[in-house]
Amino acid sequence: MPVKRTGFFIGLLVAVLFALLPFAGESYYIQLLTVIFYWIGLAACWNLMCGYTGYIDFGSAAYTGIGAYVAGIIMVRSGLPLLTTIPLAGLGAGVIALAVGWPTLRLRGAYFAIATFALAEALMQVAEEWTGLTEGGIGITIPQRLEEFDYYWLYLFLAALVVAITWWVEHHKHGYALKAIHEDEHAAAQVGINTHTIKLKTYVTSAFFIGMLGALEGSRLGYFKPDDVFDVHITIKMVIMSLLGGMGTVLGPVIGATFLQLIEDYLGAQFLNFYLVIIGAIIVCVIIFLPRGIVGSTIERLRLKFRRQP
Amino acid sequence: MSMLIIQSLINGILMGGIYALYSAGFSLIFGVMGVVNIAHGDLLMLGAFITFWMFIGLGLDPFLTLPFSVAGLFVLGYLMQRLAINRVVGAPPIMSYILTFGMHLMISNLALVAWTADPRAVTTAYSGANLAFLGLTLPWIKLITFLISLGVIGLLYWLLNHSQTGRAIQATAQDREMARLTGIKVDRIYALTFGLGAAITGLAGSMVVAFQDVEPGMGLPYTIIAFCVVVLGGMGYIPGALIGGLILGIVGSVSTMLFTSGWSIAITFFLLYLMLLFRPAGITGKGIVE
Repeated sequence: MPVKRTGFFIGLLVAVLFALLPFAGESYYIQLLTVIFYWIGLAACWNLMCGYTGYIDFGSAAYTGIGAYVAGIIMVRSGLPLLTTIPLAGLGAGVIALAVGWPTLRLRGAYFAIATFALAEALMQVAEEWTGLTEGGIGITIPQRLEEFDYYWLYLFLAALVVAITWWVEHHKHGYALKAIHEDEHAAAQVGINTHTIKLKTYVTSAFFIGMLGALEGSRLGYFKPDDVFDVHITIKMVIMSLLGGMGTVLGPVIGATFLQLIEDYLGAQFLNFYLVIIGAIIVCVIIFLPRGIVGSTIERLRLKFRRQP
Repeated sequence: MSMLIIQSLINGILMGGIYALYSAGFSLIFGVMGVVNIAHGDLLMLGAFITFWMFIGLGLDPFLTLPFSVAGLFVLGYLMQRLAINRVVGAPPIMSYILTFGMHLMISNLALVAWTADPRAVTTAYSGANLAFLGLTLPWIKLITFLISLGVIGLLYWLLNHSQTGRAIQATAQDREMARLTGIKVDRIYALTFGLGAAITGLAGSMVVAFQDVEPGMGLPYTIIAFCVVVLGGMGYIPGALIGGLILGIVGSVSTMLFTSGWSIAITFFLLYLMLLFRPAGITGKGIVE
């Protein structure tokens, strides 16, 4: 069996093992893992677009927010069951991603970073001000909730799915095209890659999954305000998790998200502001000293070590 | 009603001067190095705090603090570039976005830890003085900041085109390797450019105390406004910042008067979106798109 496929099956096995874990009894770890899977899902979505193409989305929280609000408003207004609103939330996020990506992905990466950054801020303000639709700053209460274990399984499933998509992309023509765009977009276009379409497809896919995750998290919280689900710190965490693990690698976001979430579990609650100062310092150091992240730098070292002699 | 609109147009134009000034710094940094400085609004916040503390602590007149924040921010910007950002200038642009994003987190949260989130006002004896005519008011202090802004943008433009250093900066922006071949120390030019951009941003920060209270979290909205200003005026094209700044000042002020300040941010974004859709090189068409 080729090495590629072995990796895939090991991953699948690990996911199945984690899926069986709740049968061993409820514990503190299930809750911690639920949150970790949520963040692996988000970081993997971010990595799928930004890690592979090099186009940086600084407003991914826009899609968790849209997801949470689309699902929440539909549930409140029409009483549709929670699980049917989740894909709708994904679609809502996907449509906005299409509208934002269409003009900006044609331009230099800087414009994309700027537009997405401003998008999240603007949407948060709209959610604050459009009180007729969103209840504004009073917040919205979600009438339905799943069982604790259901969130565990759904987050595990979505995270595994996005990582599997990333794996597929990595070993497929689509992934080569994305990497080519990252290296040199002009050259990629010259060898016949339709760079705009392929970036747009990836971006919309990533937003679709972020929207679904955001909708689920909204219902798990039960009650939220615009600045909870459009919070800039959601984006920050997605960026840092991918960056720490290694952007443009399959396992990078998995390792980065687990690592950061565990640190935050210990440090974050006590010193929120200092925590952010430290996170800022970590970003600066990673960029300067470890630009390929934990996984990326390790792979590079292994490759150098085991390179076949010519 | 029409008087109200004219009054808010005037307020918008006066605010637009500040927008134009620090966005010119943002545009300069982008034009020369391709660095999108996400910590830009935080530099403005630091400038505002320098003025606040010198006013409260030493009793200095806010206008007399301007040289200190220019000098302080120049040194900080020079060091930021020299020690960190220079290492990623040649790397893919995403590295610099993420790096300055990390700097934004550090600066704004350190300020929050040090000074708390309380808004602080700088109120002088002459803060309320204004020129009143036809039922309109024109606060002297804001008028002066506007004139200083225009003067400094003009000075920057002149320096870039007519001084030895300015021409070296332009040469480096056009072709890094050719500039190096002609004996320009590229690293030093980059640090100087960043210092210059930070200095005029600090200046704008010192003057922004005439318009709003000072608080550690004030930077981020200014960064977003700078994005919009330079996209309107053309990324990397300095005189464009003036056009973009005035437009954004007016749009912000009029939409705040007609709706609320929350909507005005949404409208600003919508304007940005339309520009990116139809005219990404800015109104003048001189922005860097590729």
